[in-house]
Amino acid sequence: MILILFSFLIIFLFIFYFLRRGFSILEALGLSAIILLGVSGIVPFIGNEFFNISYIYSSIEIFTVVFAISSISMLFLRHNNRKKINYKISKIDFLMLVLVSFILIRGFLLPMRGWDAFSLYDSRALMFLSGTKLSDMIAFSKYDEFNQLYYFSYPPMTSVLHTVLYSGGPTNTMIIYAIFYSVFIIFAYLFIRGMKINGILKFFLFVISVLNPLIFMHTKLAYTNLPTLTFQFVSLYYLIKYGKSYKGLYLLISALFLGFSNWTRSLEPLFISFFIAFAFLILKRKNSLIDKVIEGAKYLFVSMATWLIWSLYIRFTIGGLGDTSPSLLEMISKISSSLLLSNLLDVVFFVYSALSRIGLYILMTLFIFLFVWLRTKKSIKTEEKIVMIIIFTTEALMIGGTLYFSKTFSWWNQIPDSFLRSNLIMIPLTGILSGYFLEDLKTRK
Amino acid sequence: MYNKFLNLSEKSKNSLFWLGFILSNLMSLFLVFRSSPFMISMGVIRRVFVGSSRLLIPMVYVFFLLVVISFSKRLAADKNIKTKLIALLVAVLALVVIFSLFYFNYQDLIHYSNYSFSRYYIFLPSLKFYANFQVLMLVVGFVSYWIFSFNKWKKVLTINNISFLIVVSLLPLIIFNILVGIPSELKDELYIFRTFVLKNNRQIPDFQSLRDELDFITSNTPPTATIIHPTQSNEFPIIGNQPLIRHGLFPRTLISAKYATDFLLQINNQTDIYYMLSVSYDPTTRIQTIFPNYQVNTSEILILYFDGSVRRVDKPLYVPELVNNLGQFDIGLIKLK
Repeated sequence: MILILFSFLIIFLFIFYFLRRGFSILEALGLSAIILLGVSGIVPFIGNEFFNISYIYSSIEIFTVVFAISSISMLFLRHNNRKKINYKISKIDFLMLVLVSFILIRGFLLPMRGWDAFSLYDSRALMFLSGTKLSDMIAFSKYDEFNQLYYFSYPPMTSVLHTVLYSGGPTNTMIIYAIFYSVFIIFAYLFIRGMKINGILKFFLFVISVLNPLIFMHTKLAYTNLPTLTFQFVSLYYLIKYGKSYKGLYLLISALFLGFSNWTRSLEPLFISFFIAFAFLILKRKNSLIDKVIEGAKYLFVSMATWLIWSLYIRFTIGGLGDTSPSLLEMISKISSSLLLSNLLDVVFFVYSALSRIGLYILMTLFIFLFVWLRTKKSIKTEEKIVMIIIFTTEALMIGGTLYFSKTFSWWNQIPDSFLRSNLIMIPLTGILSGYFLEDLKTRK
Repeated sequence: MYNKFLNLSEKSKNSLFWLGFILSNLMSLFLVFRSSPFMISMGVIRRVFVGSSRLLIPMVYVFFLLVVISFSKRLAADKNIKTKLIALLVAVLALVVIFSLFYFNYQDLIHYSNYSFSRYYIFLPSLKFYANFQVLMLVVGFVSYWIFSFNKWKKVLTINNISFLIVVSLLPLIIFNILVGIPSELKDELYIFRTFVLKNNRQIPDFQSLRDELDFITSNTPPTATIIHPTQSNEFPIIGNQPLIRHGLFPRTLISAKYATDFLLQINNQTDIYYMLSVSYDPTTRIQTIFPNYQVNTSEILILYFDGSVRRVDKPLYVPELVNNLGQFDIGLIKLK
């Protein structure tokens, strides 16, 4: 555990003192916490599956990787002494820190909850710790009437995080989700802090994007939705930062977090919406075609590396997950056959009733889309466009996915809660989008 | 068209206002009290009304909102005390509805989850919708009053301002819904802290007594044991779920009931094979499901009772009828001979 804390310190110092590209303390703290979580969810798994290193040594592995990467990049990066370090902490920043520490303390105390947490994520963690590899878990399907290949249904991010935590002795796992939630609220705060709108509006936007019970509930459940949401949200933050300055570092960080989110949940292909938003940014930039291709390749490679590792791993261990990871052709044929009116009505009704709990958010987004369309003469900000692209493609993917599911599984309409959980990112995205929209209205009359 | 509506005579405007007011409130109240004896006595009419309300209610609400906007224009223009009193009355009524939602939500929380329905016939989701509409109406009324109080209000109504007002008006509505959800979050938080955190309770919050059952099995079987458990079904949703019980039982081998015979035929000379003895009782159909429901040659049977005590039964043969002599128990282990 001490080694993990040291790794955190290294990342923090590296980001805060060495990169110095306008990282405030709050941002550096959040960023280093989430980078550490992402690295801890990948490195021990690869060490164990491919190099037979036991999970007991995971903290050493993490420390070594963090130390090596930061020292190598220090050699290659130019140290810029002239930039002053931003030590300032405003009163509201301080309030955020107090809020975060409350959430962390609460996380230390809460017991673990959630059906899938016990049957899947934490079960895998306990088995990892006792020396069972994920590839050994195929054997468990043999005498199980249901749940075939159940342990392979999700990538191992949160399971490995639990294992790393357990490797230092029995601990309360909910602290992981408290950290995820803290990072999420820090970045929502950073998003909203930079907007040029009224302070009260900022506060309201923060409340609606962060304190919704649907998201807050996930600090009590050991599910993968909150980690995925946080990774995607941070990825979006740096994608937007990249859109402002076109600095390669932000691109790298954004791609890295997209990769982490693919390592947490692979069921919803939300990375596609990020790719489209990124393609928009790249095409907008005035540089040569070769540069564009190189940038695009970098982004694709870093963000899809984890996805590639996971799908290759699945292919070589169990040979494929069946209907939840179909081929493109099969998907197109099924979706086109799902467009019959009766089925379409079923799907529309399902989506409508499943999303009714975030109906007001959807309504708000729809209004903003409508008004942006009505105000076409006025150009809108790049940030706003990115968020709109991501919202639009995400919902298109979700509805397309539901259409596919409706023709593939008989139980497709039994899981409205699950569908709602997959759409959680709509909550903060609506908050951010309305912030940008209001800012746009204020600055460009 | 809306301009024409605004230019209607005073009298017809008044009657439209009261029509909208009465219709929207009455219909919402009918929906809230949809299961009261009075509504039940309506029979078919009630069913038609509740069924069509999905379409009717939004139409009536939109109509009333338009009426409210025109009313706010009048309120901003004339200094008549009567109009002000009516506005006050509508606002107070809205606040009553909003607070009644909080009140009945709270009643549900401190008693049990269906309290206001079974006691006062109040259907909470409808009341929530009703209260949401009242919040929206207050916001719309206030915002339009504010706009119409400008002298040149037509110039204020640019697309920019309208979009600003609509987006900002939705914020209080969302925050209201977050506020409505807070008491139940707090209750859950208190429950978790009282029963688990402060008492250092090792039980799993979502699965009552599962921890006891798993601990009982782990302490009475070696890690190399094989355990045959009932099939995952409505009767055994939890202990039938192999991945779920593996969380506590790993590294023991787990066998679904369906594969028990296959497994027993394959193995030779393996000891430490156990059956998980479990009973499920459905109080509505009064059907008792016993696992295993066939005879098993056994060397010992261990029974865990709900108070934590363990009883040992020495019988050479397990028969399902044995369960009736054991009283109410949590779970049992049958060691195969």
